[in-house]
Amino acid sequence: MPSFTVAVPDLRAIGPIVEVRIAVPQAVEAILVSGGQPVPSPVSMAAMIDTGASGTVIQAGVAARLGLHPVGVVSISTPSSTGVLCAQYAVRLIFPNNVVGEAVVIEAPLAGQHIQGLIGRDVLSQAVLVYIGYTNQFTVSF
Amino acid sequence: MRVHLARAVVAYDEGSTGRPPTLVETLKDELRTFESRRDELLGTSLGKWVLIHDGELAGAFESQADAINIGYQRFGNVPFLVKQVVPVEVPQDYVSNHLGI
Repeated sequence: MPSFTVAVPDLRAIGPIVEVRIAVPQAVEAILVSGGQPVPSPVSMAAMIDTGASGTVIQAGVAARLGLHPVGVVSISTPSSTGVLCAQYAVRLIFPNNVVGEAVVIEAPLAGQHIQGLIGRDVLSQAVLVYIGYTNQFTVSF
Repeated sequence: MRVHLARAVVAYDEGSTGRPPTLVETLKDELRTFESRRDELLGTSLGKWVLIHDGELAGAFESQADAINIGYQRFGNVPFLVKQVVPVEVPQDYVSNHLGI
């Protein structure tokens, strides 16, 4: 079972954060390759495993850096807003240990945060999350 | 839900959330097509994922991934809309305050 384990110095204070690379999905890579166009390099970001997020989020601007266009629009609710429309993008998520998956994510501002992404319950719905607080580590298996 | 969606588009276009209006503007025609055909689609494609490009309905598919892959195959790496046909759209929920929205 593909999995990765992350040790965080202070898991309680920092949270379950993992370095993930965001890449174009396979379908777009195939289009670019067949057209002789360069495939954009993946964008690295620190993302928090967030069981309070129903979907996965990437920092605003990342999709443009990858040359991606929206494939959907979804309404979201946050503690301070309701019914905000966000664009959705198909991306490839590359986790540690080369654990790879594809997801449809929203783009939203995460300004002022120590993270640039959230891994939400859409990804976690395919996974087992083991959070071991007293050893400051967590494991995600797919 | 139609009213709710229309309100949300207005709020977004006015930039009240601090986000650029171009994102929804990009799919304006596709969203208009989806809304105008929603009742028909509820009768023919309930639960399926529709693919809309350039304001035209291109098909209904069993999964979101299928619709997106077909969209890329037919239209290339361009904007298109994939949306599930449901009677009431449930917003995605974000409990924490990480999002700047």
